Amino acid sequence: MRGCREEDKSTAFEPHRSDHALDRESEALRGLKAGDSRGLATLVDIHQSHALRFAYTLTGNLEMAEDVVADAFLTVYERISQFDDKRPFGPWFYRIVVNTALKTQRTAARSRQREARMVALRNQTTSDLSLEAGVIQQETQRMVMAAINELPAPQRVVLALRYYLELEEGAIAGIVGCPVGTVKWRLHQARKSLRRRVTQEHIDGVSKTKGEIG
Amino acid sequence: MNERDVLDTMLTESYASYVARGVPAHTTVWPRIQARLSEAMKPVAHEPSRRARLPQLVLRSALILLVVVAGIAASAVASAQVRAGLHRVVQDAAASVGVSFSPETGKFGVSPATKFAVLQPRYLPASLTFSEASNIPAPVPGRKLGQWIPTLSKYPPCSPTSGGKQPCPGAELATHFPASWQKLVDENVDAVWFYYAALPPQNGYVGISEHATILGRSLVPGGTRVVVSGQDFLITHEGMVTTIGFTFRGTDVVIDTNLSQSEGMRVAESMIGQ
Repeated sequence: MRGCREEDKSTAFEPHRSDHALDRESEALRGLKAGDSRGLATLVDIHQSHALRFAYTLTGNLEMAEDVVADAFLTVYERISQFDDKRPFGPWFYRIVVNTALKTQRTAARSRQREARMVALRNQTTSDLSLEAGVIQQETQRMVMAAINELPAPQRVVLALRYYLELEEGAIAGIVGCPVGTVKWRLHQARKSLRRRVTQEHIDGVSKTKGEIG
Repeated sequence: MNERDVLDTMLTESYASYVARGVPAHTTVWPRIQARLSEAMKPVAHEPSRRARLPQLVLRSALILLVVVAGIAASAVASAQVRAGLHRVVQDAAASVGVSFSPETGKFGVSPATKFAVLQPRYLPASLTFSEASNIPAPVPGRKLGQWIPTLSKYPPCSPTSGGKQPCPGAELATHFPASWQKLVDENVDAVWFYYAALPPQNGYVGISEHATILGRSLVPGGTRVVVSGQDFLITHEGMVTTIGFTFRGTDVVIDTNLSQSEGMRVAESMIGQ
């Protein structure tokens, strides 16, 4: 990723994975390296769901997210010989997803897409959720996502990795190719910006809701 | 809850909610991947029809032949074990199109000549008229094959990229062609060529990528021989009338896809100057 040249080697990243899935993944990787394209289908089967949702958090556009993930898998297919099979596949793959997503966004018409995204979000918010589900919470989430979309790309990436994939900072560092300290700094800056952008009123609202539930 | 906890909770929930609303549960990217692979490699996921498999057999035989002969020529590259395996494969493939193959001599039974072989299935599914075919422009050296071939693709007997149509069998062949064989071919093939006859475009298949560069063309009796660069030849394209062939280490191998045997032999002989 831009701005980071040093790669953290601590990559404890195998979220939501069973032993069976890991075995399938290892077998698929071996096959793919040996030229068996069926391995790609297996990798897609294992990883596409998480990858797609993660890409969506970065792009805010389902079609673009699908393109990003498809491109990422094709990159895996093309560069599988570069993959070090002594290391976990996840960080390597998600790094490709991140880079592909950022590259895709750079080449897209940013302002137009952002506007479309916001309109879609607004429509979804008003049409899909019932008022009973909690107007305040919906409005807060809408504001939060809108605020996140305004953050610089490096901060958006670490936020999505932290709060959507729920990765530890060390694992995030492995994916984005930055030292853990840089990841912490980006998370800190992102939170600081979000605090500024999301009004105190909404934070209070969530706090109150949580207090009542919990 | 302190402010940091609240923010963490808010972010986690916002992401979860955002994704849940934005990404349908069973969304899959596999079709997109297949489509892109089709663009790059023209793979085909489903079984070609019986009719479409015929030129595939020819192409398969052609490519196996090519590899076998290239393997024999480049014995330093291919091990004896690999060659023996390839011999068995090519014998089976040759038998499937009605010719014999001798591993000892590397020759095909259909032709006594040492310089070429003709694999000859009868394949005449043409539904087009001569007048349509005669409107096809001449290939231009220096241009990509794909810049010329689209003029023919309005007669698609198959289409690797458009859904619902009959797949191009050679695409499957390309998909399954081992990388090690590709290397052998890359190191030995001088050029790929095909016979562009003044005949109706039939359902022949050219084992050449549309990215290959047209190197030259020459008139031969009854048509034009088009020579393209030897790389990227594994992917087929639809809609060509042709005898296809390969030149490696100065030797032509001719594979006829849809002419009669006598016509094919004549064309082959004219091509290599016999």
